[in-house]
Amino acid sequence: VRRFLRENSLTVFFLVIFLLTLTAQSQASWRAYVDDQHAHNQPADPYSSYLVSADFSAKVMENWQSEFLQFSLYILATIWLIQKGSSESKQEHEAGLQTDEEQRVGRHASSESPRWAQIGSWRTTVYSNSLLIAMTTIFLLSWLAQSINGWDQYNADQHEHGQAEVSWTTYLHEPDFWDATLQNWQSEFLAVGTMAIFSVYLRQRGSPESKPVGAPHAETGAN
Amino acid sequence: LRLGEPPFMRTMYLAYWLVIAGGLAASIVIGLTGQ
Repeated sequence: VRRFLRENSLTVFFLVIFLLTLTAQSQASWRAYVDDQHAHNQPADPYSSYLVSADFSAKVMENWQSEFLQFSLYILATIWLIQKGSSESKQEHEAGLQTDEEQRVGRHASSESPRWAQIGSWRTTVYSNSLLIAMTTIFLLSWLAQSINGWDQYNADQHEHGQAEVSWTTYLHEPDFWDATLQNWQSEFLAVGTMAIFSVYLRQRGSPESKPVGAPHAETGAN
Repeated sequence: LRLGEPPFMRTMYLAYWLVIAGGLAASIVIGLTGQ
């Protein structure tokens, strides 16, 4: 167990704080919902029902989609785009998909390389893009989930105010959907750009997200 | 497990997939059954 924790402490730490904050979010969210119901003289669902409500589900998915979009875009953009001096960037001459030799695929793979990197054909192509495929798929599915739950809530709201319900495709054109979406995107994009440029001039000793403290500002790349 | 791969290295990878897939599936079901 000690070895397991030592070798996986980063992912264990984040998984634990994810579960703790999700629980705390659900509690805070439920209490806010109860207060709102009481303010409108309406009965409130218990916590157990709120956990499986479209309201809570939409809030969670709204944040998931933007985080996974952020990483998908970052993985994609950093293939070709450069920030000179950034720990997050490749050097100018490394821009692009690089050669099979540099990427150790096909006949340049070693016996220790993953099997799909050695094998060639479509399997190597898929494996060569698997990180981006996985992150983008999670982004698209969580965005879809956000839209379905948001639609659900939107129609409940329409119903409550005696207005006609809308179809899912109509909901996708509603400002409500884009408000929930874009308010998350803008913050992610600012944070990513900030990280790319701040790492040129600022340092964190010991972090692989930073260049070594004594590295010159113009030195690009963490290694 | 591949040669040289420490035991349990895949455990966290699978744990994350499980949490994400579970969350996505639950949310889509909640949204669809609410309609």
